[in-house]
Amino acid sequence: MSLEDVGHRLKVFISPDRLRATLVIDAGVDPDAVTDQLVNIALDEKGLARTQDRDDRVRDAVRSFRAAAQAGSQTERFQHVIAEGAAPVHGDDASLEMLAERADTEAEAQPESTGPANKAGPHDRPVAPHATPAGDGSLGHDEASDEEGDEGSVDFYAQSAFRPVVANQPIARWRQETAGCDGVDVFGKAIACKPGKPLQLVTDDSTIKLADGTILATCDGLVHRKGNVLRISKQLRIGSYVDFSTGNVDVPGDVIVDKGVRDLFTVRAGRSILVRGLVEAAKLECQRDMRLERGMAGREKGTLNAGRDLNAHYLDRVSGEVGRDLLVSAEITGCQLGVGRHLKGPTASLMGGRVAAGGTVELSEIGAAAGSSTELILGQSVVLDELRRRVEELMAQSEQHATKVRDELESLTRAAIKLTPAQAERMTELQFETDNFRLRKERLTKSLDEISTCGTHFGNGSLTFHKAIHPGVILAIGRYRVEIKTTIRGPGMIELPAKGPPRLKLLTTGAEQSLDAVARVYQDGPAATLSKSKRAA
Amino acid sequence: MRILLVDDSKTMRNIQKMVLAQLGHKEVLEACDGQDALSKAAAFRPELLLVDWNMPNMDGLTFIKHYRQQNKTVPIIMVTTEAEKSRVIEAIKAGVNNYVVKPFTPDLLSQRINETLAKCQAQAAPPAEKAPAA
Repeated sequence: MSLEDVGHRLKVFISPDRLRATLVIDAGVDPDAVTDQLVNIALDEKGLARTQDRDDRVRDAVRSFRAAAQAGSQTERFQHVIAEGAAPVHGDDASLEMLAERADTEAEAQPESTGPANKAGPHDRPVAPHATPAGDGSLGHDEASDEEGDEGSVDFYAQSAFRPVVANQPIARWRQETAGCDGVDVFGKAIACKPGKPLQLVTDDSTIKLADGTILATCDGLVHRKGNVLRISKQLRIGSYVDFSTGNVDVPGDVIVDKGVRDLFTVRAGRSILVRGLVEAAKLECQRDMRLERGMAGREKGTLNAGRDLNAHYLDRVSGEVGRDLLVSAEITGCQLGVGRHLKGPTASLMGGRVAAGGTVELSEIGAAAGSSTELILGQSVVLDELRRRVEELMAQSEQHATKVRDELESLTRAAIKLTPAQAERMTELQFETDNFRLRKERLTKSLDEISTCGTHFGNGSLTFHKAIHPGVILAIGRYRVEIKTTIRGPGMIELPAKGPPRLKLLTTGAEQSLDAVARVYQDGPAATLSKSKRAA
Repeated sequence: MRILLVDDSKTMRNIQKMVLAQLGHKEVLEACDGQDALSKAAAFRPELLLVDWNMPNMDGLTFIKHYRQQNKTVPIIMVTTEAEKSRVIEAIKAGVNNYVVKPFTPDLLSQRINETLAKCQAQAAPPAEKAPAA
């Protein structure tokens, strides 16, 4: 076999990715004819780069071929990897590791980064499908709420789908993209790597990125992450009901509920609440305004507390407090309500229950023709009453503590002829506390005076009614109690003159008359004692 | 007015701070012992010091002796349980301007602060010119 023949039966194959070259020697070739030089010629013809590694592999190949031939296997085709390149290492895409939330509504627990490598973590779980902070973003779960109670029970109501963040809380960690590393093929040529893609994150001043990549919230709210947008939203919008899919809601900003609030759930907002659907026997609390577009059917379990105004279509068997005005368009039935300022319902009726309003009251109809026990307290601000009660409570507590301090001080004074340093310091402390009690008492007394002044400012209130007031209605104005005995047709107004009992003014004629003909009028104490005085009567 | 409170008891410092606040002094720095006070006094440059006697690391008297080597005019009030006459004399020799014995009332502390400041201001003011002889 000539060298040329051998050369023809010795081939080099290159893999499609150019990362591997394989020497193939056909069966039947004389082992002694295959030399390093011959193999190198074949490799050089293919253009493979000459390296020390290649030379070593050539030597190995020839040795292996000869060994195989001696072992009697020259009838088989011989193959040996003669050169290998290095694959490029592609860069990682920039990513955002969310710290304050674990799942993304839109992304359905999918990667947070632009790259395909990131998968949702083990913490991910489905979230309220309709809930979005400030529109259509994502929400995190309250992992703590997954924990079982002390007795192994789980409060499903308390499993809130919304976890608010506070200012300065880390919400995410930014991971920069990496450049990657080029590879090299068997010809010695570089194979370019793909650098990681940067993350084009859109943020506003509700977040701040630190040098180490940590992203902090600059205000209280909910994390909103949709696509490339990351911000803290002060508004939570729930596209459906507040129910077991959302759990209770407690957020620092506004809450908008597109449907309703189911029985026994709580919605608490640092700012305002808007519910477009029906509120069942739930608990609603907000610092600012509350708007219940359809109304609330409390079934004597539902409560509400609005820091400012409450605007509702109707309220049925609800108890609660409204800091400023209550505006109702349909009816208030069987409610226990305290309204800090005015009750405005020119088209609404009030039937059953007990309502107290600090300012004026305007309603269409009060009570029912069939007779229903309805109490309306006018001109007595429940808010002021509550404040007064709290101040008095504080005064009592303070006095109780002061007595203890005085007793200890007296016992120290009596017992010690020469005080130890610790006793002397304790005595100084007690004397200082005594002095503080005096100042606190002065401040509390001043507060009580201011509350009384506010009460005077509100006056005794007045009641304007457009249709009628029915028998069974009890009105309290100032120190007077008025029990309606005969239906009074409106439009009319009942108010307390500067002197004497409340009077009725007919708005059609402007005529004023005593209430004696239509009601029983008592002068038996402040309106706050209405129920008691009623029982006494 | 910059005031340095030196007392190892946080409660006592709080009490003194509140009394000072009632007197309208808000620029108050606290030190928990003599050493701490020495390091803070250099940078803070107090205009009045209230110093306890018994403290760990460096007691009030030692602190005052050190402080007086550098500053002879800033008024110092000793607020302490050490009521014996010999101790009071020792403190005054070390450079204390006034002395408040614990237990004290807020009124008493206020009074001592006011009288110390008034006295120091009077000493600092130039002597009034004598009226010409008739």
